[in-house]
Amino acid sequence: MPGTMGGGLAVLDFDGDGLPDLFFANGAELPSLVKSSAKFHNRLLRNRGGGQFEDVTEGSGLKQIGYGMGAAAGDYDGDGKVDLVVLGVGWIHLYRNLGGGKFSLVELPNQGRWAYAAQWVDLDQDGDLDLFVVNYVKWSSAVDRQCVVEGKADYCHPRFYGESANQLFENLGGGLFRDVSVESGIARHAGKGMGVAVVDVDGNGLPDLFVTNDRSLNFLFLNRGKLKFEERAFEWGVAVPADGKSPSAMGTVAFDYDRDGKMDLVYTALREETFPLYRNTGKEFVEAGILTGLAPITRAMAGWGIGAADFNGDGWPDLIAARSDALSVSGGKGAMAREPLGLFWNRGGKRFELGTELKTEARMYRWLAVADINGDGCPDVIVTALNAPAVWIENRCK
Amino acid sequence: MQMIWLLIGTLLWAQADAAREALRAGRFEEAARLYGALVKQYPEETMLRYNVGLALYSAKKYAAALAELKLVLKVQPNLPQANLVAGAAMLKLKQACPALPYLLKAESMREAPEYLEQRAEAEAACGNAAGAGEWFEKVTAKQPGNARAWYGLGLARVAAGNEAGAKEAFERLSALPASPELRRLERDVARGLWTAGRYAEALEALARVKTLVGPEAALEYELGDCEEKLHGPEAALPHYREAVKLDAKLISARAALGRALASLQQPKEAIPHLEIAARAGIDKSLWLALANAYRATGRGEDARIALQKAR
Repeated sequence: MPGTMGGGLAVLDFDGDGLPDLFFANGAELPSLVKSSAKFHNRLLRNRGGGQFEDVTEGSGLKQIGYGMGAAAGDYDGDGKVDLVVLGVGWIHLYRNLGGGKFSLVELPNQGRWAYAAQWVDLDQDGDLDLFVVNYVKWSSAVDRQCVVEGKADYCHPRFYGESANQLFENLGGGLFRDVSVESGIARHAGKGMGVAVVDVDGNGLPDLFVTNDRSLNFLFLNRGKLKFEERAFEWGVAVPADGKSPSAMGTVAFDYDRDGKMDLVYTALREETFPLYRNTGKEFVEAGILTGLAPITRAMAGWGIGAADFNGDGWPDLIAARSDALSVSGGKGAMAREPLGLFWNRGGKRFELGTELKTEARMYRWLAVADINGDGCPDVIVTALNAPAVWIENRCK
Repeated sequence: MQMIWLLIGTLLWAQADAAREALRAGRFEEAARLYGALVKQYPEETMLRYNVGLALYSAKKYAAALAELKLVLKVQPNLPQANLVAGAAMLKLKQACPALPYLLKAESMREAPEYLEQRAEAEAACGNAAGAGEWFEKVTAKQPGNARAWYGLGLARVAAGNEAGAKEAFERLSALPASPELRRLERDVARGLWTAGRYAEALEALARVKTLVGPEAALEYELGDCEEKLHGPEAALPHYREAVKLDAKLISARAALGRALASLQQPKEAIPHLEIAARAGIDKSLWLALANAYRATGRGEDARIALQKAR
């Protein structure tokens, strides 16, 4: 199962030179989950400018052990140096940036859960970054299964694995964290988390958390202050699409596509499920996929990471998605599992159109990050793919 | 099946003639009985026993036919006719792979359309798509009007991943003069494509079937599902509405109609369909769709109850 899920990355200016650097969380041998050779090491790439990157993993302390999944960057200790959290199958590793390209490791407790994604955000508004961790299914090598899809061995549907609760760590300052998952109300809700978007949906000034779950109801944790949360996805209309069928909800991003001042939501899913888009009315989310044309465009697509930015400088946030199926190329879908990247132009906050200008090779794309890599003022995209090099999509918008 | 006639002497003439006549007239059980009586008198005559087997096979008593034919093959293991009928009986008894050695021994009859068809069916049922395709091609070359052979060829090509070839075979099948068998086979092809998730091809095939068989609720539902998978709920809606109109008790169509209406932000219209479908208990997620529809129409308490049922 982990073999189809990896490919997390983070953009961070770890050396403070003003250029965004890149960190890639890599996998490991299966079923041992051990990084048995250098090809499995995580990678830290320093941006030297001019489109050049230097591999500075060696000596950084980030090579790591275990099967890496996701990563998130944030200066949690407020020392001006961007730190890193790396998620994996059975662990959460916190890396404090010591400067000089070196990191020190502290492990956060996660009871052996499959940590998949994370977000640094000051949820209690006390001036430092707390950590929200999205956990995927209950899985171990011992319970791994293989399924048959169209006569070929392939990954199993997530229904074969149990749900897992997410975690919230309060930043106590001084590099210390406290697991407040239970008292915050987060641990009350188990799911199969894949993505998280931070958004103040109700306009109370406190960041809320939208969590996508793979084929189970999504969560919307409304922030009631003092690290107390209420799960209100159903009431807000984002637990499940109107037809009642829980999609394979994957990556998600909050963005104000209609520029009405309220943050909207979109997430990726698999073929026939579309990439559901929700307009925030301030009181609830209303499905906008059919109205904006995003649903018909994405009906035949499968997606993982998704990012939003104004790629063409017209003032409207566009979308880009890392596409491919969850099933393997050697399995039932064959080469059809690979897809090109998906670019969706936002036409005045009313319609989305497929950006045919972006032509990319079909691959098993997984996750992406949007950042101005070359410092030209235009958002670029870094995309990972399974068993393939990461791709830098340079946006020459000027 | 080619009949083998025996001259078994003057005394047998009348009895043998009656048996032969019964077989020719399609009175297979009577033929089996008459040949059986002759076998009792002349047990050394293997061809008489072969005729018992053939008559039983024709009477659709496949296990009994196979037992007789195995006795024939004990004496004459390479007798092509007996091997062919034994293989055919085994196919009918769903023993496709064990049938193949018998059919191989009957390969001297490979020019006979009956042989080609049995061999193709056996190869297909034994999972040899490429082999089945070859043998079905031979049948269609000899019998271009053989609907089953075009059907089998299409399926074999689907299994072998030859989509263009499969399409061609199914098109040839569709071009045959209308008959009840053709209609049934076309329906099978269309449904097979639909269940295999090949929605674009299924849509075409189902539309073709619709022109042959006329309005049918299940067909409309399948058309709607293909449209929804390919083009979304808006395209599916007319088919779902028609399916429910034709058969109000078809729950799958009712559920699909309710879901499509909900997706198209018509929760009020969706609710009656979703209520019927959810209560039928075919899929728990229908309660979620219903809960969403209640919520969207301001029926908070109903939404809460529906949500509980979904959970």
